[in-house]
Amino acid sequence: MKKLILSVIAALMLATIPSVATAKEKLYIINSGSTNGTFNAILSAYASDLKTMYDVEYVQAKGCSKASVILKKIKKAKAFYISQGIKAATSDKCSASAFQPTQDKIIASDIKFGMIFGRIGDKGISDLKKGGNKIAYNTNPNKDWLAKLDRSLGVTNTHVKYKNSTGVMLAVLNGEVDLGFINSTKKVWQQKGKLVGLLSLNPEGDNGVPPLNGVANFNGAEKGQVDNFFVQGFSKSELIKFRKIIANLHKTDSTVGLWYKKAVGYVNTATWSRQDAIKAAKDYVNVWRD
Amino acid sequence: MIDLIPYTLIGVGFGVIAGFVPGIGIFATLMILYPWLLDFTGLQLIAFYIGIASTTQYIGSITATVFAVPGESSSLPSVIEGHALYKKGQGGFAISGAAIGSFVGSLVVLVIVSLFVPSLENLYYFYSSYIQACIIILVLVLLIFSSSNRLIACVLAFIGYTLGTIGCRSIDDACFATFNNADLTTGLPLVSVVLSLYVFPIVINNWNVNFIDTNIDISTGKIIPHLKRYWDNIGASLRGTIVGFFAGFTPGLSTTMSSNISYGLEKWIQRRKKKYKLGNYPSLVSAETGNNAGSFACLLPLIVLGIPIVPSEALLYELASSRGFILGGENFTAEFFSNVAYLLVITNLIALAIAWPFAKYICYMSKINYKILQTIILIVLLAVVVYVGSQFFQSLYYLSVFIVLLPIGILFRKYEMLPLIFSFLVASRIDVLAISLSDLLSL
Repeated sequence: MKKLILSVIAALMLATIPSVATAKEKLYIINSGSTNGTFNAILSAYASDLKTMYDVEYVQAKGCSKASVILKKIKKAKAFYISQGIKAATSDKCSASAFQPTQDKIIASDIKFGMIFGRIGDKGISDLKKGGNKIAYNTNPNKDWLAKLDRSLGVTNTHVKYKNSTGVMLAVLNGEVDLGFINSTKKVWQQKGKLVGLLSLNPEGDNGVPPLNGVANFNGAEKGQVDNFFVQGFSKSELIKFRKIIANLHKTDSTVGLWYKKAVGYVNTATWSRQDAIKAAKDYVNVWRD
Repeated sequence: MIDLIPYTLIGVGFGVIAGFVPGIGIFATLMILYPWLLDFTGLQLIAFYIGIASTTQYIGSITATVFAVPGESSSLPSVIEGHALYKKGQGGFAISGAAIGSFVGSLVVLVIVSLFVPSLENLYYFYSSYIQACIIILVLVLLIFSSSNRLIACVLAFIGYTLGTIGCRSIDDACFATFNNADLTTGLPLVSVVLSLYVFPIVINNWNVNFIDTNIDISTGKIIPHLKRYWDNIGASLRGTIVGFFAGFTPGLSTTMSSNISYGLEKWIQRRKKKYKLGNYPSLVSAETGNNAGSFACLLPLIVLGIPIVPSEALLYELASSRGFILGGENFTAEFFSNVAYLLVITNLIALAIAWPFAKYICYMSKINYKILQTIILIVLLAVVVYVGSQFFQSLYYLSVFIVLLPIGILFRKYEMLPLIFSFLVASRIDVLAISLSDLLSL
């Protein structure tokens, strides 16, 4: 019996020693978006990869306000979080410095270009130019943008608001509206048997979808958006090191790497030079400030 | 496709945990298991998800019946009728009725849907804002009309809606009653609201009643009376199946909507027949059948269209996508559906086999003094509030909301609180639909 007890103690000690020696640093990963959105999917993938290097604690903050409070609570700890650039520029709740793209905290951005889409074989660009359509959208800035588009074309359309991009897509699919406008085009591409991209905000077009500025030209016709990835509690050298880790995840078949490989319409700046990435984040946020 | 069965079995195992522990739903379980699930292929993920999603519906009704604690919000009707049956010494019938109903409901919808596989791609027509609004209004009307005091039910529904609108809406960033408090911007936490207004008052109501249903053990061969009682009420079960199936398509609410509409309808029918008394077996069976029919309906948009309608499905969808497996759309075939279908049959058989003996182990609780048991339940639930809150850095907020609302729950403890809880659950959905419909109708 004594032997057994001693063996157990020895085994426990052996098991503990390496875990103490390799104790990982705590990293909070904070999702400031919804639980069923793209932010959660991307950050879950990051959490999975970063778990091998950090003691990751995943926090669902449910919005900018709460995320901001959490970041203040844990200001000395290391945190990695995401925020919509357009909200940092236009929403009071997301105007906190934690969400502004400054070089002491920005890691990378996802650049994405919105798209107007419809059902295959149904309304197209010529119908959009004529007006009289019901167009679905899902964020406040998109409403202003659609109003500008109408003015530019000299037509009137009915703009119908939905909760999220899934709502917009379903409304187009079931014929409740004629056309849809969303910022994250991934969902449209995944329904390519039923939906078709008509016009892209990308000035170079997007996978065969023509650019909007060929049809209408107004301030905002080429406005892309960014989702920014930030850190808190990192020194400058730690930030640079962490950025390299993130860049490596994007270059390999990591969970994050695979996620981006499958997601059409996203350009991530983690592999860009740091200066270029910071500039892109600032430019894409500032363009929405006016 | 036999190689997928182990993944379904693992899902069933976690479904038992997710259904048993309140506040730890399917989504939280998936988040905890996320790194491990990354090793699964797309089909293995589906097999796992079918196991977990179906089993929670079976197990959630047992805790609701015995402890008056809903494992999932879809088990709320079981807290009323199942627990009342339990107090009458008919807990065994409540559990068997829920389990058989769940099984029958799942199989019936599976057979019906199988007959219409080629037409399933037109499923998105069901997501018209008009249809979705009609379903929510119908459930509210049914819950109010099936209440003993309709005026009070209306008032409670209004209070529930008002509580549900506290916070900031994601659709237009509009905030209501947040008083510049960051916690309030996230809305009132579901677990605090349900426990303070619904569960705690029931447990406190029972404080001086000493009962334990020792006849709950239904695994010892006396199955015939249980089957007979179910058969005598099969009409309620089939009604629940059909109604629950269609309500299950409601985005974000799915099985909660299914169980409540089935329950409301059956309770209304029973009242019309002047047969309704608290602890109504047909209403319970209808709710539980509708619950499982809805659980299957909820899966269809995901596997047929590739559109997740509840958060746990969104996570599953992203996991599958990261493995290169895009659900729905062009990948959907009748062959794929048949693979999913046979896994559903297996899951339901296993969950049925687990749910009955599970009751036997709960019977062991009868050896504990009832007041001590109630105290343990209350302490565990308080711990659940704090624990779930801690996941969002909001332990104090969750606890505060619970404490503030508890007196209201105790004040209204003699009334049927389901209209309030349901209105709270659907408040944000009502707002979203109202905004979309007003735009559509150019109001």
